[in-house]
Amino acid sequence: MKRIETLKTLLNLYWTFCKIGSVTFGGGVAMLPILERELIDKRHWMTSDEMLDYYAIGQSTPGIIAVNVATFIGYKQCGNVGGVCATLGVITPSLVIITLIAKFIGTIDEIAWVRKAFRGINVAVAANLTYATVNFARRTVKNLFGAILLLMAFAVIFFFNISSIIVIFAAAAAGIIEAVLGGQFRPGKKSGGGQPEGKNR
Amino acid sequence: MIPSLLELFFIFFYVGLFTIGGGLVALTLMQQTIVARGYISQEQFYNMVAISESTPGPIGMNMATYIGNEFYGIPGAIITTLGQAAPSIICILLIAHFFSKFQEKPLIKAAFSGLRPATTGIILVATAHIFQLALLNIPSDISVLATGRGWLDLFKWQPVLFYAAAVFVLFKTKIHPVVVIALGAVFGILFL
Repeated sequence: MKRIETLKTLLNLYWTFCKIGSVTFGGGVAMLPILERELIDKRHWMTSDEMLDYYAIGQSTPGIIAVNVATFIGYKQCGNVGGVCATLGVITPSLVIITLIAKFIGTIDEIAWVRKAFRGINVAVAANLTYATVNFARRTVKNLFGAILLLMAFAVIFFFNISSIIVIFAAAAAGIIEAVLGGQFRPGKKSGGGQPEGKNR
Repeated sequence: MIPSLLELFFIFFYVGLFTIGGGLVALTLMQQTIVARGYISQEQFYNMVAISESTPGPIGMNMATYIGNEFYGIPGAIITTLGQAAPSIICILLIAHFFSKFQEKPLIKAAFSGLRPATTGIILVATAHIFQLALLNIPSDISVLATGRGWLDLFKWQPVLFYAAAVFVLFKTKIHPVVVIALGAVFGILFL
């Protein structure tokens, strides 16, 4: 009985990511508004903090970001096999759609209405991303420190082309420094942060 | 000259392993391993990029599928796609395993409290790029912005109207982002 339950979860993971992959236009970040709606709001598989953690890790480790995030979410739902199923789900649409295009259409660019549709889709993706960015900013910026980090991260990448990996490591360091300066690691205050550590043992 | 299936697998495993930070990095690596060795021509490569950018699915994966397909049809596509995804799966499963153990440690918590707003900033970069591409006509000469006319020409007005309406509806209703994409396609066919 339990095995059937697991199989159901795995199929559900595969199918969910298959659907998400087939409506993702562009890179891994373009997937975010859809993940937010489907996995955070609708299915409650995770919180937005967890989603951002996965993106931070996915952006600073090897591999396509969309695949990294899918593997991470799949692992959280159903262990190693879950990670593999979610990944297979997110790459299936690429396989099917590109194979069909390669077979039947030489150059998609030549079809005028397809070009127009893609221009419209770009505008829609801009709107979706604006909405998702505002939502995430509301949830992650809790104080002035957070606001400064957000704007700095944006500015150094957008205006100076600094690699996002450097930004991620710098931001992690800034988080630790802020905690140290705020006194979170002082022995007297340790009871708050130290508790979960004790539970693990 | 075409590479063997095994070679293709390892080429894309290599591309997946050294892609850190996004699809554009993957494109550069493919250029170095596939185009520079003469397996496919530069022109063909750019044609593939154009199609991969504008079809559903992550760009890197679309490219892998496309190139594999070019050499060996569907089996080739499966080999390249799996080759490229394999390093992700291995690395992330290892990290995820340790992450669940360490995420409650104060040091890791502190690091992620800095990471979350910064990651939102990185997402804002992607938003700004697509905004530029879809809604603005960036002038070749910035000085035209000194005039009112220059500011008016900066915006593509039909897309701006659609964008404003879409953002409004997204905030005010429970409309699904996929519906917005479908409406965007219709809007593009009719007006752009």
